[in-house]
Amino acid sequence: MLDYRGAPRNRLIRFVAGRLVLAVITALFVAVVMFLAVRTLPGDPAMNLLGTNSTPQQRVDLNRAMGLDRPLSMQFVIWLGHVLSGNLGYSFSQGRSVREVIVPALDNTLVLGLSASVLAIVIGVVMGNLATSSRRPVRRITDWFEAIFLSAPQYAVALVLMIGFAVVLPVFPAGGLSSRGAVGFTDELWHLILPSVALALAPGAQMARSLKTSISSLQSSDLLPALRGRGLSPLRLTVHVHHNALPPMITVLGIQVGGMLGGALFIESIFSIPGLGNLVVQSVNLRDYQLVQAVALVIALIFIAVLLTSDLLNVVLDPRIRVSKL
Amino acid sequence: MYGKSRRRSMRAVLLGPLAIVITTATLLAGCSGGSSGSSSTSGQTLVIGSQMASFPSLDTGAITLAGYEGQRLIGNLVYEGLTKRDVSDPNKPAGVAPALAKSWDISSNGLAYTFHLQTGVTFHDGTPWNADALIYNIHRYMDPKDPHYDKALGTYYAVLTYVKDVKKIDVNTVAFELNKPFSFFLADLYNVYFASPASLDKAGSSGQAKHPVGTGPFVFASLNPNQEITFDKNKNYWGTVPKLDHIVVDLIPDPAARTAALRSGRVDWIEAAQPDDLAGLKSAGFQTTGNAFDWEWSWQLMASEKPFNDIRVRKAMNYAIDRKAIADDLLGGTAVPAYQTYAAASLYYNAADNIYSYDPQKAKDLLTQAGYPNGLSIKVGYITAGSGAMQAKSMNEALQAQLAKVNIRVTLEPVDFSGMYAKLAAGHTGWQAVNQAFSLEQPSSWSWIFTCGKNYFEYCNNQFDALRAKALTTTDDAARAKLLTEAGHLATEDAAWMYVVNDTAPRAMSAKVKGFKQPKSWWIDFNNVSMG
Repeated sequence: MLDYRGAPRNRLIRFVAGRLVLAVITALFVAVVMFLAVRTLPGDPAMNLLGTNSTPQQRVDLNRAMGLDRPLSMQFVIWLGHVLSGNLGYSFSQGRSVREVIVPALDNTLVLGLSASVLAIVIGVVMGNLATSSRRPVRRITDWFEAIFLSAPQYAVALVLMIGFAVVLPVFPAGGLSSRGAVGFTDELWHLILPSVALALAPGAQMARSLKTSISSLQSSDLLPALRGRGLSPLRLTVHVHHNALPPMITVLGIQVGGMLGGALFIESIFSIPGLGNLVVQSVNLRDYQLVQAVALVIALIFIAVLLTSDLLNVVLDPRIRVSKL
Repeated sequence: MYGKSRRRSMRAVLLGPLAIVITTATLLAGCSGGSSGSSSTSGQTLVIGSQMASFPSLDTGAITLAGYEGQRLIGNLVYEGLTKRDVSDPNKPAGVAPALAKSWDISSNGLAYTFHLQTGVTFHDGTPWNADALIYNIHRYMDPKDPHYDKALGTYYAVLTYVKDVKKIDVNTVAFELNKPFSFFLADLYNVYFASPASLDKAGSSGQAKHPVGTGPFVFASLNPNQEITFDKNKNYWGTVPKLDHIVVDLIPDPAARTAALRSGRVDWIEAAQPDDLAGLKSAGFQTTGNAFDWEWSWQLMASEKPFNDIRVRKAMNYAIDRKAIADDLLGGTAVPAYQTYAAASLYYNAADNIYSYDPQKAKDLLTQAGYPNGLSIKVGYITAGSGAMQAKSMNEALQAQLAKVNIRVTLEPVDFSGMYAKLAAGHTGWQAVNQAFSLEQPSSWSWIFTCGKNYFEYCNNQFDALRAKALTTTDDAARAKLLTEAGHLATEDAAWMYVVNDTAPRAMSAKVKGFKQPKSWWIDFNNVSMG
C-alpha cells in the first residue's frame, strides 16, 4: 500500500518535470526557427524606417543602432538573454516596447479566440444532434450547413456576415471591439458576436460532422438497444450517446484552438480587431524583427502552456493514463 | 493505439471547459478594466476610417513613419511646422504657406533665413511658442551636444542637414544659417513639427510618443492602442478655430471593411475608398470625393540593361498601353492617365509634354527598329499593397495583357515594399522594370529617383541632374519651377518610365460631412469641415 501511494507521487513529479523540460526545449526550438525564418526574408528594416530617400550610410547607421550589424548568432543570444530576463525587446516600427504593443493585441485575440471556441462547441453539439434527426428536412438543412461552412473561405463568410448583419440589417456593429462612449461587458460582447460567429462556423461544422458520425455509428450498434433494454430514460440515453461521441468531436476543437490563435487573422482584419494575427502581418511587412520574434514566441508559449496543462490534467483525471504513463 | 487516441481525446475534453473558464475570466477582466480610454464625444464628432494598420509613435518626427496618412490624420492635427502646404485652393497645386512662422526674409546668397514667428501662440499645455521653444526643438533634432538630443528623430528630417546654426534674434525672431543654399528649405520645413518643451522636459521623447503636445488645431485626447485615436478641438487655436469638436481616427486596414464601416455608420469618412465601391456608395446617398494629385503610378524601366537601354524600347512601352482604359474602366475614374513625368497637379507640369499616346502600331514599329520584330520578354517586380499602391495586382495584369498585344511578354513578380527596396538597394534584381508609386512633390528628395549613380532605377541624364541642381539653389519660385519643368521634359523625352496613371485619392463620406473640398494634394485641411 505504501508503495502504491508513494511511488506514483514521485513519478508524477518526474513526469511534470519531464514535461516542463520538453516545453522549454520546444519553446527554444520555436524561437530559433522563427528567428532564422524572419531573418532570411529579403528586406531592410532601416529602409522601412527611414524611407527610400535615405542614404545607404544612414541605413547602415540605423541598422547598427538597432544592433542588426552584429553576427546573427550573437543577436540571437542577446535577444534570448533579454527574453529570459523578461524583456521582450523594443519595437522600432512603433516606437514602444514590444510588451506595450503585444499585451493589448494578445488580450483581443484571446477574447475572440475563446469566445469563438465556446460558440463552436454550441454550434457543433446542436447541429450534430440535428444531423441525426429522424426528420429528413432537418437533416437536409444540417447537410447544407456543413457543406457550406466547411468549404466557404472564412474571409468570405466574415464579409457576408458583416454586410448582412451590420450594414443591410444594422443589428451588430461593423467592426472594432468597443463603441465610443459606451464601455463595458455588454458592449464588448455585442462587438464580439459577429467575429466570433464568423470564426466559429467552420470549426462548428467540423465538430457537427464528427458528432454526427459518432452518433450514427452508435445508433447502428447494439449499445443503444441494450441500454434501452435496461430501462434507461431517453435523457440518460442521450447522455450515454454524447459521452461516447464527445471525445473525437472535442479533439477537433483542440486542433482549432491553435488555428484560432494565429488564424483569426482574416477575421481580425475584416472586423478591424487589433489582435496578434494583424500584428504578425504588420510586423513582418515592416521587418520589425523583435516584434515578429516576440509575437511568434508568445503564440508558441500559449500553445505549449495549453497542451502542457491538458496533459497534466489528463494525468490527474484519467486513471488509465496514469497507469500506462507513470 | 487505443490508449493514445483516448488520451488525446481526453486532452481535448479538458480544453473545452478550460476555454469557457478563460473566456469568462477574460471577459470579466475586460469588463472591469474597460472604462479606460474613453473620452466624452459630445458635440460635432467626425470619425475617420483610415487605412493605417497601426499607430506610429506620436512623437513629432516619428509620425512620418505612418506615411503620408500618419502625417495627414495625426501629425498635422496636433503639431505644426514653421511652414505648411497651402491647400486652400482645391484647383491649384499645393504651394508653401506660413504656419508657425508669420513671414520670413531670405538673404540674397540664399544662406540666411530669418523667421518672424506667429505671436500669441500657445502649446496645448498652455506654455508659449517662441524663439526659445523653436531652438529647443531644433537642437533636439540636430545637436548631439544638447541634453534633449534624439538621434532617431533627427534622421527623419533630412532638411535639417542643411542647417549650420540657428540663433535667437529676439523672442519672436529666429535666424537659420544654412551650410549651402537650399531653395526647398521653406517647403521641406513643413513637417518639422514643434512639440512643447515643457512637456518634453516632463516626460521626454517617450512621453511625447504617447501623449503629443503641439500647437495644432486639435488637441490629443486619447489613444486606444491599435484601435483608435481621439482628438479634441483646440479652443485656443491661434488660427481659425475648427468647427469640429472631435476627430476620431479608426484603424481599418481592410478596404472592404472600411466600406462596410461607412455604410453601417460606424465611421463618417473613409480614406482610400475602393473604386468598385464608389458607385454603390453614391447611390446609397454617400458623398464621394477625389482630386488628381501628385502621385505617379508607373513602371520604372531599368535603363542600363537590355532591353531598356534602348530608348526605342522604352518609347514602345509608352505607346503600347491604353491608359484611359485603366483609369476609366478598371479604376472607375479614380485615376487620370499619365503621359509624362509630372502629374497635372504638379507645380512643374506642362501640358505640352504629354508626348505619348495609345498607338500600338507605333509601338510595334519601334520594337522592330530596335531589333525586336518578334517582341521580347521582360520580368517586372511590383509592390502588391500598401499606401498608394492602388489596385496594383489588377492594374499590372491589365498592363500585362495590353503589352502582350504588341508582343511584349511580361512576367509579373509580386513583392512587398521591404523586399522590393532591399533588392533594389543591393542591385541585381533580375527585373527589367519595377512598378511602384510615389510622389514627386519634394524635388529635394529626388536623388533616389533620378540622380545618376544614386537612383534605384538606373536612369541617368546629366542634363537633368544639372537642371535639378540649379533648381535646388534657385530661390525665385517661378525660375525654379521653370528649371524643374525643363528637367521633367528631358525625363519624359527619355521615356525613363512607362507612365501609367496619377491617383485621385478617392474618399467617401456620409452626407452629414459638410465643407470638405478635396485639394490637389494628400494634405487636407479639417478647419472648414463640419457635421450637418
